[in-house]
Amino acid sequence: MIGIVNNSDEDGFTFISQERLPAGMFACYHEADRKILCRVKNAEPLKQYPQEFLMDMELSPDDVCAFYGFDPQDFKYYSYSASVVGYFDDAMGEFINPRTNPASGVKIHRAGEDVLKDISKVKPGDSGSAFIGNVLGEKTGIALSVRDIVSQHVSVIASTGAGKSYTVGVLVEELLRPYNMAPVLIFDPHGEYSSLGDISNTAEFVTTSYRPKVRTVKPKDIKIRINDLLVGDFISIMDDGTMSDKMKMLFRTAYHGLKNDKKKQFTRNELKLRIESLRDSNNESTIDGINWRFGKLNAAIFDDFQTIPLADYFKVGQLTIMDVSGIEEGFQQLIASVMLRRLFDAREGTENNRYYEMHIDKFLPYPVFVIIEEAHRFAPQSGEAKSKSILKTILSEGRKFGIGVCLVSQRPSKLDADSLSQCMTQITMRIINPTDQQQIAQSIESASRELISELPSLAKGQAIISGVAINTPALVKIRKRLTSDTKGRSKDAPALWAAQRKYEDKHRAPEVKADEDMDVGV
Amino acid sequence: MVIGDIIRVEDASTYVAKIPPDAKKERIGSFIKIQKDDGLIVGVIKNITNSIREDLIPYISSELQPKYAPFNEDFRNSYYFIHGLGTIRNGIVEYNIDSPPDVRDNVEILNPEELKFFHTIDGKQSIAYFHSNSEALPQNVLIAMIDQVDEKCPECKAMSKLVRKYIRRDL
Repeated sequence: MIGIVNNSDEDGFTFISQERLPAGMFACYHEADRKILCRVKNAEPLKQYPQEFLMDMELSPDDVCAFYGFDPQDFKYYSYSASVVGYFDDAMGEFINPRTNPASGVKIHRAGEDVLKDISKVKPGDSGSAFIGNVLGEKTGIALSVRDIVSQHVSVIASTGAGKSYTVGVLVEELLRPYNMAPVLIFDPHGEYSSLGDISNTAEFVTTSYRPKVRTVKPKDIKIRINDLLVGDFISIMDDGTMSDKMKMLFRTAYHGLKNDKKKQFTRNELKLRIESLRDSNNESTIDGINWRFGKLNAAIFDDFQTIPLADYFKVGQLTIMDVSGIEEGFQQLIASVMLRRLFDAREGTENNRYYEMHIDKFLPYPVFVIIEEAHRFAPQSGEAKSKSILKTILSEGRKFGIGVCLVSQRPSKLDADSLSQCMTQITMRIINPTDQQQIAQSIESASRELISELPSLAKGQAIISGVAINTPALVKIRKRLTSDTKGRSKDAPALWAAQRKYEDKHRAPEVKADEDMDVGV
Repeated sequence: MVIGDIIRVEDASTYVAKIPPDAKKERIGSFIKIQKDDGLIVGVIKNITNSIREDLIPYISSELQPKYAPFNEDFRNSYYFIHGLGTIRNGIVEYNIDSPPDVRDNVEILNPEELKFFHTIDGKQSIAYFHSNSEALPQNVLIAMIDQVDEKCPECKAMSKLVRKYIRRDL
């Protein structure tokens, strides 16, 4: 037993305890042969030392209390506010709130493994589970329901250095386990996920019949096929703010003319010829202007034939890391946009029987999972991004077609609020910025809001997990990664400087000193 | 030295003592003792009063005077209101009183050794009765008591300094 209920009101109940219990901790009480799970919210001392008794640093307040006639033990009790989560109903598969608070005098116990195990919807290690860590301060493992995170998306939000990429790494590891074998793609703007390549060679992921594959696509190998661009994409690439309406109209005419031809694929040259075909005496300079801007499509990232090979990128039991580091942000958005557009088309077409096995690179008969790092760049709250529209479409409709998205960001306030609120499972780590906290509070379920105040004080690797993939929000210590995480770690700058200095000293050519005899001056 | 004798016991820790005629009055807050067969009752002078309205006595008929003026023979006397704090029995200090004094028991000033002994529990300086008596005793009495403890038990000066601050703020 850790405490006794004192009183209750509409916000929950309070109990008295002599133990120091962390906010967010789970406790329970017995009611009609059921164990009712509850969550500790705030703590405050039941009785405070008179402030005068604390004014001599040489004296122990307990000694002064005893001298005066207070029982020092009276100051060791805490009043905890707590809220009822409920009892787990096996038939319903969820916690049912009894809609009553415990009566005064009811004993409060530490929630044991037998109660805490019900926080997870799935058993860690089972098919469809993602063992993400342990209930903070407990041994009970927490597993997310992969089915729910793939169908209803997930967000990983944390300040820099709080363990965001590490957590994504853990999630990816779980998705690639033999009991999941998910097709996962990471859109990696910083090239920081290459360490996940170890998955293929780590014993925990390999069975006699399964070895996950990790494919890293380097920036130079990422190509956008001209034919995959929409007219709006073309214009956004070419328009530096000086493209006239007449130019845009003529370009659209050429583009749609080509698209409406029976030939579905076209090249830059064909498009250029189509633009030229519109030339007459009234639009000479306009066509010249379009042609001049068309030169931007000669960037190395564009190709007439090569594209993002969906079927190669999304294979069961394969992690594809699209390393777009070093690519200009506008092009990163374009790559994301084209990739997501093609993915949505493939999944929607396959589900609706428009595409069959014969449709190479369009037939995708299984759900997939896409992780978007730095999501605020691809779906910003203010301003436009080429990828924002398709990302929002997938987040709102992807459930029907089996496209799961994981939005990863360190600035939730800069991430489109609609997109964030579509992520029905949230992994939220340390966030200090109040605006970001507010944004999170608006996008998560009410039960988790009690834990929002904990966000600034979370340690590295601790997270609040809430949403549909778990039965009740919980503070979780993210488990240790099975693969190394050297890339995502903060650099130990002083150590690196010292090493560099040592290297330079070792390899420095001996200085040529002037011969003193020669130094006769002028 | 006897400073008075108990003339009324209201409850286990509230007594009135009559001060002998022409006797020097002790100060409010002074620690006193009442000697009993099995030990001492330790108390404090809570107040001094002339509460008997001697000036009205001439107006009361002679047959009613015994009823309304039981102390009418000593008009000039004053009275100590005493608050009992604890006992010392067989060398053991207790900060509660289970047996009050009797009428006519003598009241004496607690000597320095007894005062020090009364404020020592398990070898440690203590004024632990303060908390339980803080509502019954006014602030000036408590301050006077702590001043005496300070004087006789200098080793607890640091703690009594904090207690004095607390009493001044809170009580």
